[in-house]
Amino acid sequence: MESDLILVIVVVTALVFDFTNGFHDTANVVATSISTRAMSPRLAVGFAAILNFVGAFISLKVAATVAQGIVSATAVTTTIIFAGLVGAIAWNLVTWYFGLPSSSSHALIGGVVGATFVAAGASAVNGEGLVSKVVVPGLIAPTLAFVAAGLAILVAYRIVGRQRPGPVNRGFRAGQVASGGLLALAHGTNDAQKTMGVITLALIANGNLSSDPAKFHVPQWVVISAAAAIALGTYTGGWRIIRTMGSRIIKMDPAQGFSAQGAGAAVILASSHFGYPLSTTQVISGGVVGAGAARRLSAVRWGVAGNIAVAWVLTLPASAAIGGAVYGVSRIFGTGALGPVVVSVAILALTSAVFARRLQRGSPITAPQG
Amino acid sequence: MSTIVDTTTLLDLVGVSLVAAVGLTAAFSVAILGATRFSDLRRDGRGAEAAWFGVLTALALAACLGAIVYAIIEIQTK
Repeated sequence: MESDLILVIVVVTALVFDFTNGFHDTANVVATSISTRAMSPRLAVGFAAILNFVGAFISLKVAATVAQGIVSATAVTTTIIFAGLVGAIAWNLVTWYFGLPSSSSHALIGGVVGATFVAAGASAVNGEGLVSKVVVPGLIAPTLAFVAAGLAILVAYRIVGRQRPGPVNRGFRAGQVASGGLLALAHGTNDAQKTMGVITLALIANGNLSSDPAKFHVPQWVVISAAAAIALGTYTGGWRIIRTMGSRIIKMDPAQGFSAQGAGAAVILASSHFGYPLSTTQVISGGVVGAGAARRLSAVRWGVAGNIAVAWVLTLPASAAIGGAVYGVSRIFGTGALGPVVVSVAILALTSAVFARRLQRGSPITAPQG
Repeated sequence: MSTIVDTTTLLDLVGVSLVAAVGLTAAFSVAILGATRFSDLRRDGRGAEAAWFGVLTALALAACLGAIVYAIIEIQTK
């Protein structure tokens, strides 16, 4: 009975994380399209939400278990997963508040690493795995996308530079709808599967599903709920991050928007093909900066880009610290369900208080007009 | 270091990413160039030249469409 209660809490927390993942990462897909007026804000997030939902059903190979190869699989418990999810959700909300695009996957890994560290000690954390799966990809993703988008926009300007801007801009705007759609599909497939993996692992750990790899399957309700949560989050739209990505880093034209998105999609799909997972957020951010810098270095607001880089560096330690702290607080109340229940109630109370205060102070940030 | 960074995979990733990114953007830019020139030349009554740019546009768009289909297959199988 008590383990069932923890399971319910983990499932709900995983779906909340999935919602914040969609909410936080909407910008990756729609920011450049909105900025270049390829689509209206509401149409863009609606389009991205539908393709995120569809993307979640395209592939169900839940191979990417959370923090696999980074923490000891035998050390992970449902309470650790819960604490890791809370760490990731908290960091997603902090970076959203400051309008900074950061990796939800790295936040989740950080949260689980922090909770595992507190629960089982440093020996349960594989430092080499952390470097190879988070630190190195974190350096490669933005650099590669920066160069790819930079070269792409130079080629694009070379080809269409002498044409009338009207038809050229209309053409690139139409192209952005396709490249944005591809990104949304890829995002739905990759990121919704993370949540499906978390919930399925919790179901296996609780004995609801067989641990026999031959009988491994993801229940249909898990697929539908994960797809719905990420799509709903995407539709809600993290407008602060959309503004940063779409107009605060560079003021982009449709050719730059297409190059950033097209290069981003190429890098993400190539990384998927070679089994070298890169963060969608870091790839698209690098692409946006690259498309701006190739035209003119001073076109990039380097201060904003620097803030984003700082957020990336802080993602792992910050989410790990929160995940570790949440696990520590949960353990004060023993190994049962009481700890996660107390933490969940405290978070709900805190969130309600923040929203109530926000409502009293004025209207929240919503979709820009036009 | 080589156990932490798989250099061969990394180099493959860099090469394919750059070729795909530049290739896709170039193909789509050629499609836009072709469509713009097609429209301008046809308006000027230069049908033969316009037809050449029409073919160029169709080929470039076919290349882009092929890339999209390949990408969807890639998403599905990974």
